[in-house]
Amino acid sequence: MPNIKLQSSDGEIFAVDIEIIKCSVTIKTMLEDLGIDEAEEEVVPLPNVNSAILNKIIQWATYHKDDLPPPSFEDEAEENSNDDISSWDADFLKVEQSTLFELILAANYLNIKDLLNITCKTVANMIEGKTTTELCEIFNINRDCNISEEEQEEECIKKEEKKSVKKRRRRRTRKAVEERDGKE
Amino acid sequence: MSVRVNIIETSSAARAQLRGVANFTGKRLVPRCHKKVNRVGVRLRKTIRFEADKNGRMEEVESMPISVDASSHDSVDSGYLSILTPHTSGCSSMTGYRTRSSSGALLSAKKCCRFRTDPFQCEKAQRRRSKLNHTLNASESDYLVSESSSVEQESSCTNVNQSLSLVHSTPSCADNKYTEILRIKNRRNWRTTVLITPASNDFQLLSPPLSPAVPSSSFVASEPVEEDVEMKLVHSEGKSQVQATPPRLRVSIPRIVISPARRRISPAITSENQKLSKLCIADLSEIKPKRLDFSHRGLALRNNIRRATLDYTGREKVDFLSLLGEESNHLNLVSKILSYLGPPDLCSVSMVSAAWRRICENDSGANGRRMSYILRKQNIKENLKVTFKKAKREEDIQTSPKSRHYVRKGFLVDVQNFLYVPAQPRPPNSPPVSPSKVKFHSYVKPIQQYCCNVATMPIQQYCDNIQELSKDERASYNIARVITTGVKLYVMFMDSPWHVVSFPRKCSHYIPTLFLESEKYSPANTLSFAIHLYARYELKKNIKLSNFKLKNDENVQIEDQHVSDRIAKNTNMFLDFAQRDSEKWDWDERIKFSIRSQNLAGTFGATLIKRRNSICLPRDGRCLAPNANTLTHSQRAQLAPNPTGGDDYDAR
Repeated sequence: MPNIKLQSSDGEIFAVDIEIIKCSVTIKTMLEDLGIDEAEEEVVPLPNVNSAILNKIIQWATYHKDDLPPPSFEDEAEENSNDDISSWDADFLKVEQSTLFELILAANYLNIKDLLNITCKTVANMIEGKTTTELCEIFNINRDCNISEEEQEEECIKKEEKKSVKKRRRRRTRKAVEERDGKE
Repeated sequence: MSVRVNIIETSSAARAQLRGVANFTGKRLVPRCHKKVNRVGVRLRKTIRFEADKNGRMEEVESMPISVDASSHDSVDSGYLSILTPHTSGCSSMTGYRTRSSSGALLSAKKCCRFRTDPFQCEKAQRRRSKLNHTLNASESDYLVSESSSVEQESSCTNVNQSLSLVHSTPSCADNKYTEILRIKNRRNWRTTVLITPASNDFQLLSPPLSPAVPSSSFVASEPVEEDVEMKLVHSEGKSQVQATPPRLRVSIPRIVISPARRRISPAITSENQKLSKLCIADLSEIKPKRLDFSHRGLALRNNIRRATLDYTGREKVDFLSLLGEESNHLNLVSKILSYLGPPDLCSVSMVSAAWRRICENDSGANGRRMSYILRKQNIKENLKVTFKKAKREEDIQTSPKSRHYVRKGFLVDVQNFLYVPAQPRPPNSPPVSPSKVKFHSYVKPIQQYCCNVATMPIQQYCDNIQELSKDERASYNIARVITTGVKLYVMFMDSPWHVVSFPRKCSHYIPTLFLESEKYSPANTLSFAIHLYARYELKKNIKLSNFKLKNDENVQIEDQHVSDRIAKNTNMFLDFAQRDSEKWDWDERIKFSIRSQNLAGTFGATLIKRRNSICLPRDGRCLAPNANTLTHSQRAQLAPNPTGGDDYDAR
């Protein structure tokens, strides 16, 4: 199988099967547009991905090489609803938060939709069902605002009221305009 | 003000450019004058002399006075030399800040300066300038320069080549040719007229050293580091090695005529600036040539430096949302993560920190979901409050002695409350017609009570309760059984025992009237239907459930077509319902029975007793022991169907 050489941001070069790495839309498009010959030993620099992350991505892509092609953009809404992470992926993503963050960035940069989905879902799972204090502990956040639920509710209600007032005003103005037009 | 400037030029391209505008005299290369163009269109003139030693190193020979017409400008730039390389032009200086280039040249940028970030444009401008310089190099007489503000803005602070070319070209501008050319090119934009005296012919531009130079650590230099053309502003205080001293020249103070569009209060020369200007490199040999690494590794390292996002590997905890949403502009990722969260989680996310709150609010989808959830929650709270109030009020109504009045007003009150009203037994207004009627009433009374009790009871309770009847109650058991079974069926049909509570008041007093008026009141109507249905159930067990349709039933003899239609409709509905639970029902009993008249209650109740058929409870198959034998003959006769109909239940 023809290989392509990917260079990480720290200079390490990875030789990867083109078919495997074509899960990355960025690389796929680049290969198609630039017409890099497979025989040529061109090195594709990936300045935003370090070697550890690139290695992980290649590992993921190799495992998922036989998967079905990613769905089209139209199915994006449905995609979100399907939020199951396979056991292999779950094990694969049992990494440090920093690595997960880097993976998200890399998946976004390389435009690997499936990887991006599962990484984002993993982060969402980390957030899901946690209280505010737990979230602060998990993500090491300095809590700089103490907003209670009641305050939040009040704010929301105020906003809604403002919206409704605006709507009423608009209606009134519309009516007034219509009446004027009718008179004229 | 006097500043000594040493320019070390490494780039051959830059040298070539200088060559075009300066005179080379051996190794001595003296720039004729350095000009600084301020934002409002003032071109300052600074004259500096340089000299190169034998090694090709440039050193200052002597300082030339830089004359600034204080009255003519008040710009920030006064007294400073602006030298930049093409590479620095795009990225080094920032508007509104005074900075020092990597080469050590002190830069003063202005707030409103527009930078020429495009290197291509820089080159273009440079070429144009050099071309002009060539043309203007011939003569060095005084000339009048008019500049466009836009050109000044572009060139004033960032573009080295531009400034250099300006620097070297200005003295050589001899006649109005230059002015004319410029006027033709930028006629609209010329604002300021600057009169500058020409530099002397003796001004010489020293040739740059052959070896490239690296900025010394003694300079507090700002980014960028990477340059191929490096220039130094060195203030050496009299210790330069002079090889060939060019003749000292006094440069006349240029008369600058300004018509600034806007005057600004400049910070002028601060003490800090003065300190910076005194910075010097003692030994130029310390400056090592910068080696450019074009290897893959070097490129990669450089790429790593240029990485858009920081490398977070190795951190134990990462604030995902803040880093993605606020520190880097990955809002799509943030919205993706938030899309996986439910509204309660979004609420807790928005309460974590101010940054998370902002992120949550900025994402329209997540914010919408959160808001709708909060509003829904609020509504539920409000509704609960209302419900509690209502419940309390109802309770008050039912406990009050005037509850009957409330019923008339439309409030629903428990049936039991009616029954438990301490009503004193009144003697009947009219005495019973016959002793049989008295007997009938004696039967009706317990039935009345029992029926109502059953109606408010769940089914299972009813089944248990029916066996706890007293002996007196057993006397009227048969009638009660029929009615309550009908009620039970009704209750099952409606899937709730409490629907029966809304009896018409009249019915609760006198059960037969319930059936008579069944067509008027819908609950009673339904109850009658249920009783009828029970009878049908008892009758039609020989018929399969699927065929149990009243419309085509030959055995049904209902005189009133309207009633029969209604019953048929209701029964069919019930059957559809019952068919689902048909497994629990015992349909094997076969009883034949026919409804003879419209007066359903009297008819089927009495007939059932008359037939002495056992009745099985559908739900658990427990026999209720109809015990029809307990009734006397007269009672049976009393409850016999009345073929004429009506509400006369007297036995014949």
